[in-house]
Parts: sequence; C-alpha cells; structure tokens
Amino acid sequence: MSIMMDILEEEKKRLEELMDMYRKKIEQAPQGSISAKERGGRRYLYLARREGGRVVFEYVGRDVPEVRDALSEGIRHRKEYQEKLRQARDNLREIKRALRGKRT
Amino acid sequence: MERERDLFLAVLARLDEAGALQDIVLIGGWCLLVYREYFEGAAEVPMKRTTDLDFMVPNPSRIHRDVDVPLILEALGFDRSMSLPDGLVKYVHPDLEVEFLTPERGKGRDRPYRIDKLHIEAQGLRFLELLQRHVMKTSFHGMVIRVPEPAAYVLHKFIISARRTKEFKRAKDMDTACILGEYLLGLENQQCMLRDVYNGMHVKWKKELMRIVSGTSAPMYEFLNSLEADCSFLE
Repeated sequence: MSIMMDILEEEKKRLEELMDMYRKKIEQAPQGSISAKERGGRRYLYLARREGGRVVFEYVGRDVPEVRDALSEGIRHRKEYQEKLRQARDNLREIKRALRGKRT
Repeated sequence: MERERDLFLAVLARLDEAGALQDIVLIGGWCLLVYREYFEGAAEVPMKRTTDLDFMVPNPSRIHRDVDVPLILEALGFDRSMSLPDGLVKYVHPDLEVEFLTPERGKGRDRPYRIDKLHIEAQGLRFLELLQRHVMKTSFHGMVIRVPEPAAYVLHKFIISARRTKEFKRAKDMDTACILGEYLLGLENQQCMLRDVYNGMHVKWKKELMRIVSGTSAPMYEFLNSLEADCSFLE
C-alpha cells in the first residue's frame, strides 16, 4: 500500500507546482474586464475590477482593434488558467483527503 | 480516476484523428489499461499508474504526416512546460502530464531530440530500444493503437526498476513487472514472446535482467534460467 501513498505524495507535489505555474500565468494576464469610455469623441479602453469593495478602472489605451483583441485574448487566457487552477485545487483536495485517510 | 481516463482517451482520439497515433507508441503505466482490454479484462493485469502519460517516438522516426501535436494538446488544455537546463519538455494539465520519449542510441546526448514532423522534442532514454523492437498493434476503444508487446514491457520494467533513484518508483516498477510477468507465464503464446524478447536482448542486458529477477520473482527467474540452459545446450 505504501507505493500508492508515495504515488499520491508525488502527485500532490506535482499539483502544487502546477498551481504555482497557473497562479503566475493568472498574475501576468490582464485583471478585470474590458470597459470603454468616451471622451472628446474618442473611445478609450480600461480594465475594470473590484478592489476592496469599489470598482477601479485601469487605463489601457485608445480603443483600436489590435489593443481590444490583445486584451480579450489575455482575459480569455486568464479565465482558462483560473479554471485550470480550480481543477488542480479540486484534485489536490482529493489527494490530501486520500493521504489523510491513511494516517487516521 | 474517471477524469484522467477520459482525458487519456481524448488525447488518443485527437492524435488518431490527426494521423499521429499510427507513428508513435504508447508506453508507461497507461499501457496497462490497454493490456487489460487486450487480455479481455483479466484482473491479473495490475492497474497502478501515475498521471504520467508517455509516448515513444521510434528512432529513427518514420512519421507519415506533419501533425502539430502541441496544438492538439493545447486545445485539450495542456500547457507546454520546459525544464532548465536540460530542455526537457512536458505538456502539463491538472489531470495528466504528457511526455515524449525516444530510444537513445550511440553515445547519447544531453539535450532532447527534435521531431520536426510532430513539432515536439523527445527525451532520449537508453533501454527504450527493447520496447521499440517489440511493438504490437491492438484495438482500443475503436482505435488502432501501438503498444509494446506485454512481454517486452515486463522485461523492460524489470531492467529500469534497478535504475530508478526514487525507492517507490523502483518498487512500483518491480511490482508491476512481477505481477504482469507471472500472469504472462501462464499463457502459452506469451511465454513464447517472453522467450523471443529475452533471446533478442544484448548479453549485458540479459545479465542485468537475471541479476534483478533472481531476487524478485522466482517463477520468472526459473523461466529465464531455463532459456539460458536451452541456449547452452544448443551451443
């Protein structure tokens, strides 16, 4: 049975490393959702997000297709990694439960 | 385990659709799932496997079609992860980790082999040649898949177990090799295959194998020893 426990331990380590990688990818991606504001007949892009109960707008630049597309792509990536992080966290929880089960 | 299995089947299906599965060989722990089906659900086939999903690219590789394998894996949610300084590449996912391996030849090298037609890098490993020489095609979930002959898989597991640095990996390899090997000894056609694989091995590898098996599996040792006796009789 100890082989199985060691496999679980190794899987736990792998998932923890994977979660670190996902967290870094999420940090590097644009935070918030795209918001556009018009001023002086021109549209500007912002990233809107909630911080401590209030919404903050981070200026990105002029609303041109290249910037908007890059932003959308970055946000899509962030959401993908958030989903993967959730999945890895669920797997880790299962592993920890199995490892705890052995000890009791 | 259900999710890992589903993802494993999805990887195979995508590679099959793209025409890449016919040129690579499934090796490692996930082969056991294929063997279980091949031996009609025999409970004697052990099921201990990790999240490592390994494929062997034969060396020299004979790739028929240009397939962007990393793109296929990315679409399934895998991320490319490279370890430094050795440049080894893995495709990581919360449920599985895909790695490509290839038999090391000659003096070997300290960096992976580039497989242009599949757009991947494969890590060279010495004893994979034993598996490469004994590959079989079998049907698995409606796909034609290439895996090592179970006999080659078992003898390879015995040999590499001695080279493992982590004790539990060594124990897992040994456990799998003993259980599956002793099951194969009970099947006439598999006994013949064990004999063929063993007889085709380098003398050095045979010696190493006998040394390992002598302390771990009495039935396997007895069987391989009888082959040695047959050979000396023929000489």
